[in-house]
Amino acid sequence: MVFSFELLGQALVTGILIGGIFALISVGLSLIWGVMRIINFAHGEFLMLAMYIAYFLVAKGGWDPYLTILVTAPALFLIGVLIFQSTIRPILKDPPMNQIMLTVGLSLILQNLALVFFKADVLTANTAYTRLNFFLGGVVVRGSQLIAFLGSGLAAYLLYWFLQKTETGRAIRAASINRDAATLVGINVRNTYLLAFGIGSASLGVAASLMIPFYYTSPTVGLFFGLIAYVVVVLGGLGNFPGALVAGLIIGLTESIGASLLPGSLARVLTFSIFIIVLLLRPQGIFGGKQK
Amino acid sequence: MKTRFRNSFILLAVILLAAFTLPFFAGEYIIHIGVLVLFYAYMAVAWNILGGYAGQHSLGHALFMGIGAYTSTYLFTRMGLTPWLGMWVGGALAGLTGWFVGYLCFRYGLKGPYFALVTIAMAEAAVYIVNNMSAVGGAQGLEVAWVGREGGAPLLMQFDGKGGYYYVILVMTVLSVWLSSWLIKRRFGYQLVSVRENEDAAEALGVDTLRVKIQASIISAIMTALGGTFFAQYFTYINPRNVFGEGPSVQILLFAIIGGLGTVWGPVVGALVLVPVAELSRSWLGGSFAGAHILLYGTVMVLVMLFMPNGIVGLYEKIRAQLKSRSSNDGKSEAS
Amino acid sequence: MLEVTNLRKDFDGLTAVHDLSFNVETGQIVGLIGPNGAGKTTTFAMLAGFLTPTSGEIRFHDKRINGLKPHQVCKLGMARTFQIVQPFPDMTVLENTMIGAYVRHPNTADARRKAMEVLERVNLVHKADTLGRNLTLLELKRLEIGKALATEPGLLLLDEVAAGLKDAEVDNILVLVRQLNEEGITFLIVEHLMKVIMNLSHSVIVLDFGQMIAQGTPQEISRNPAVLAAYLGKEE
Repeated sequence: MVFSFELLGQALVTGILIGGIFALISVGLSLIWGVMRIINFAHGEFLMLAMYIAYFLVAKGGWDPYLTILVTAPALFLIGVLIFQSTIRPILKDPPMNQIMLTVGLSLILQNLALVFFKADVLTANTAYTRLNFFLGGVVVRGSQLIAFLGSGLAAYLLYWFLQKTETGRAIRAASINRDAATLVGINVRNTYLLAFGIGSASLGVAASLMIPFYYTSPTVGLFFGLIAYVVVVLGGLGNFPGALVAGLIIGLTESIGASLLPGSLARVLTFSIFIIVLLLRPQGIFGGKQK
Repeated sequence: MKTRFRNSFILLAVILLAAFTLPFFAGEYIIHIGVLVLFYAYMAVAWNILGGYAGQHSLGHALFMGIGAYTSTYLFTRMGLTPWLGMWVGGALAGLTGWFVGYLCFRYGLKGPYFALVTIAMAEAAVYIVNNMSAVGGAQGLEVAWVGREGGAPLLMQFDGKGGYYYVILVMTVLSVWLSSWLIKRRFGYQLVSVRENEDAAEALGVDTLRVKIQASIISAIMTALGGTFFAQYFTYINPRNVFGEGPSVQILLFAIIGGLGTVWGPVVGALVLVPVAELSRSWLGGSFAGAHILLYGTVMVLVMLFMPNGIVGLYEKIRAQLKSRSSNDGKSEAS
Repeated sequence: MLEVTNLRKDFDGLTAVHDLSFNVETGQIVGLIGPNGAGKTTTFAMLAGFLTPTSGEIRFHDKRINGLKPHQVCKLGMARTFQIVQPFPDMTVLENTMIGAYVRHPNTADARRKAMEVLERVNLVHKADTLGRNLTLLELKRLEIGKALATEPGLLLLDEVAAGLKDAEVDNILVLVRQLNEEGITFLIVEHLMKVIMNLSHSVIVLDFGQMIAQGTPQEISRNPAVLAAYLGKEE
């Protein structure tokens, strides 16, 4: 455990950059959970799917990773919509735990489909951006992570703008606040849910494309990110976008600084401890006003 | 009425007879499947006490399994303590943990998804903590070395051939089902179910809901830990992922859900129906389709949640109730 | 039997109940009325232990019960029903009632016997094996009373027991309450239906905006100008 300001500085930078990605992965969940009160335990697996799509386009098709967004986002939107229509919509009115168990089943299916088709190999894409690095003082800034950070910010901002400024977006927000009132003013709540689920899934497509230059993919990659998404959403407050962004940064920093200060993989324990404490003491999150 | 009772008694006796005599006429592979069926049935019954009866769905039950497995294995491999005793140490530790988790979560009023999330986080944290504990092998895990005696070492919970292990888990499963059915008929069982059905109403009727939930957590934890010891002894290799991870956590509850949450026999039925199919398909498809059997589990889970959320036993009960009301035909109107 | 002194409940800047004091004597039926939002349900919740008073005191059988949990209050002899009926949907009527009976009878056979007695009392024996989710509203209301009755309370808090019932059904409940009172159970009832209050209560407390604005016999209350003003011509 070597402590130095350089190390800390590096951890800070990496933490912020990674935090941006965490935030993007989480805003989709915040939207889905916040709008429909659906806890999708297959959220991480959706990301995993998207990463495979992006990986193969890059590794086999020679695509520029950032161009794959044109494929991953719509593909995930479609996949999200399909899965929603076929499995989630029928049980929207069932007890929450049924929904959780169903999405757990979904995550098993997705993980093991990937395992069967792609084997357990850890796949890393080699892109033009992978070795792009900047040097700021003694700190290394990985170009791909910086781009991911900026891209996440942009995507999150676009999503936020969509929800706040467009009529469809406002319909989604209305449906999340009060489903019955929304129906009364003529909002087709079911289509709203469909859209929200699709958009939430599509955001994972964007995140995946941004991550491929510096992160590997494998059937189990979704487990970690799925859980992180929950940590971030809970910390930032359900349905709270800006909250998810800030929380993403906090968790990114926790992971990163924790990894440099604590031995082995104990940084993760720190992250989970924060998660548990927030769940116990302030489940509405740092910024959440709504009670559960 | 009496005939039905006698019929089910006979059925039970036949099943038990078949189960107890299986090793005498089946080969090692069939016995292995039997062990798996019983192991998952046992774990599901243990989970069901907290998840089914009390309605608190823990998605991180592997925490207790891991505590049981690691405690007994550490005591066995490092200090020579027989797992027969070590498992109770593990059970005690798990019980303590079960109390801790229960108290923390339920005192703060965590329910449903939030409770599930905490249990996941705790189990995951355990994975990473144990990963860092070199004393118990870190990420490499621990191996339960074969003591290497002719005929096995029953006093050390090691058996030559699968038959011995089969009987151990058979007895454990029978006892757990008996415990489960005994509890449900007593005040504790009724109170657990009342908490699941309507916690406020239960509280208003004098049920100490906090204490009841914690007690369920403790019992479930201890039982699960004992199963963890068996796991270690039978599979002879444990590491943080395969005893604390989300894989085991999900497999523990899978069969309870599919078979029928909150029923006595649901968990057993779930395991009995699915495990043989999955295992046979796994060996038939071979290594190139690793993960196919979990694919099956996941698919069944989704289908069950969509079409028969009360599981196999729940569906059976519903059909039976409908048949009964149709045949009884006494003008009794049941508003639904 | 029940003494409430200077009871107060604040929620985040809003005072729901403000300086409420009243007594309930053993054997009485006391009515608690007031317009919507007057604080009746909040008061009930505090009495039964579901909310902790911000200040003030609740004494039951001369024992301070502020801040006790609902199950402890129940064990002391004060039971409550819920305005929106709260059955255990997948348990039978008998099992529903046994939960209450278990308070005084830990043994299952005893609890079952006690529960059957209670079901006779509330006229639900013929539905003993029906699931909670398959009952009519009137049956659910009777079950609600039955469950509370099974805990052998000295004081029974009824929260809008007549809500949603037809006229004849209300009479049905009225008769039951009066009989139970004659058998020795004290009642504190929250009601909107004037008919219930007027017919049953020995004494009535009127709340408005979290404060008591009148107390007296039903006749006195119905002539009290402050009470009429609070209801603003709203007659049930």
